[in-house]
Amino acid sequence: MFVLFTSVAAVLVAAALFAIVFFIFSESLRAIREVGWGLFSPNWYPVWELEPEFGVRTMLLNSLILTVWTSVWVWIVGLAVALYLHKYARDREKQVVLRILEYVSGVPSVVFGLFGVLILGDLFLRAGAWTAQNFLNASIVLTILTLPFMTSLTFQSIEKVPSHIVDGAVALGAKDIHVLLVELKYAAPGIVNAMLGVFNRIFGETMIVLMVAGGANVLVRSFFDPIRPLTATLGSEIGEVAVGSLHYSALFFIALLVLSGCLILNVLTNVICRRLERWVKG
Amino acid sequence: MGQGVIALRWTLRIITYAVFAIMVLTLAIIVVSGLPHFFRPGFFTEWPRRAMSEGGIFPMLIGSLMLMALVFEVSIPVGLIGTIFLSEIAPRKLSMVLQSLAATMNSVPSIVYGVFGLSFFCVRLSMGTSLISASLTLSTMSIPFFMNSAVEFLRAVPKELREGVIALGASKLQATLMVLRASRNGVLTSLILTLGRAFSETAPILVTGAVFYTTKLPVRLTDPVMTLPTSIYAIVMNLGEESQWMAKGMASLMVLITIGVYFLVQLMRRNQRE
Repeated sequence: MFVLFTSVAAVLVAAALFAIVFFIFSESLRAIREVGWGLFSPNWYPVWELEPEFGVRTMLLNSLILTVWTSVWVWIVGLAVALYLHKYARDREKQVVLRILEYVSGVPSVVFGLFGVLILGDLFLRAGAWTAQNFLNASIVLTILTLPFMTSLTFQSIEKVPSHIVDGAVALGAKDIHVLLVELKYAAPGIVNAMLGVFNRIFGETMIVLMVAGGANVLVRSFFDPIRPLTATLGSEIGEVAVGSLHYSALFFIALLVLSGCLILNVLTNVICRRLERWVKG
Repeated sequence: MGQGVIALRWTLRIITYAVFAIMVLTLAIIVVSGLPHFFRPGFFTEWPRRAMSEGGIFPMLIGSLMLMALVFEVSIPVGLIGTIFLSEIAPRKLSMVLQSLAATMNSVPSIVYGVFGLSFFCVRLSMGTSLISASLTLSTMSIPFFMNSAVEFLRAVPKELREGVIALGASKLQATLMVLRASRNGVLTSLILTLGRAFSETAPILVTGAVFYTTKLPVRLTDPVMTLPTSIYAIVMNLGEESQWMAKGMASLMVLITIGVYFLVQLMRRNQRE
């Protein structure tokens, strides 16, 4: 009885994931059927009466460019901080930095959005940029948002490297740099997991790009261009659209893209991490 | 020590200190720019007036708390029971599969949950833009988050305890209660983190339950609600200078609450270790 009772809760969770995929897919069917490949055209004019267009290409590209650019910075900086904390920091330093990072990791993204619009935006205007909300601003705010995640996960996986591995390397006469490389190799699955997690979070993050990225649907050409990634369109238009319309369905297609990106990334992460684990263990 | 190693150490140190400074500065700017408004008369107890340029944040605060209470009511029982199933009852293989499903759900962006909630709770189940839609959507998100975090603590309970209790003639249910008691600190930590996350989510509520302005507090589950995060968004995006102080005040409050939550969690973690 007890067993049956608890299994219901677990099944519910599994069912929820399938329900999410099912509902988002079924709501976007209309757009897929009626617009077809037009969904990948560059223009998005959903409420134009004569010839509405539902092309997501520009938004998709902007999303990818913003995500790749920001991720690379977060990866590099996060890895650097994690290495410093692991190798050189004193205990006290380690504690203080990790604690602050944990606080930042809990701050709501909408608050960072406010920070980007009211404070960084103001700085941008004072520095002579022609827009307050732009690619660079969004990228900075997203970096602040995801750095704690990258740093703490990377740090944890480097700390977990068994000490006999490090001692072994030292005993074989390895120099500091080589010891570091050995540690990095052993932590690789965890680090790659963190890297792909960062990519996923930036790609799916909504509030920040909605508030800070600027909202213009043109392909980004400079750091100060306002842009509108996929999630920003979704977040700003889904609240006002007529339920059941073609526009509504096209927005669900965007959600489907974001969801499939996330699911593909998940599978990829699992495959890569398993491969890496096998490589590490030899 | 070689020249290269010293250079490496200093580079890493400078980067770390810079990151630290930026993080502290960000938190400080948000908190300090909103803190003075706490002391305006009626900031916590009045309704906003004149397009949010006067008055206080009372309905948003209450709205957020009501939402939290509902999320708590739905997701903690289900999450806890699911966690027990994962760690105590399910065979290893099944448990692994379910846990990786939960991990996958954890990485699904929150706007996707919002859109799902809109199509399922608001439209299909015709709950409309309401407190109940928003809380169910948030719960859908929180349950796997809670399970993923709590299951580790239940697994960490030594096997000997379970076997010992069973050997003394306890039923499966009693043994499970024993395990729960042994891991209560960890479970409580997961619970606080789950609620903290639900408290700070914006996108799902924005789509499923929040409105920019209502004249009354929600009295029924099907009433729409004003919350702190969605009001911050609405003010920053739609209103001018004279209303911004209210958004700053709410942002400051949210950051202070977040810091409080994590401080509590860190404290509990330290207690557990000692």
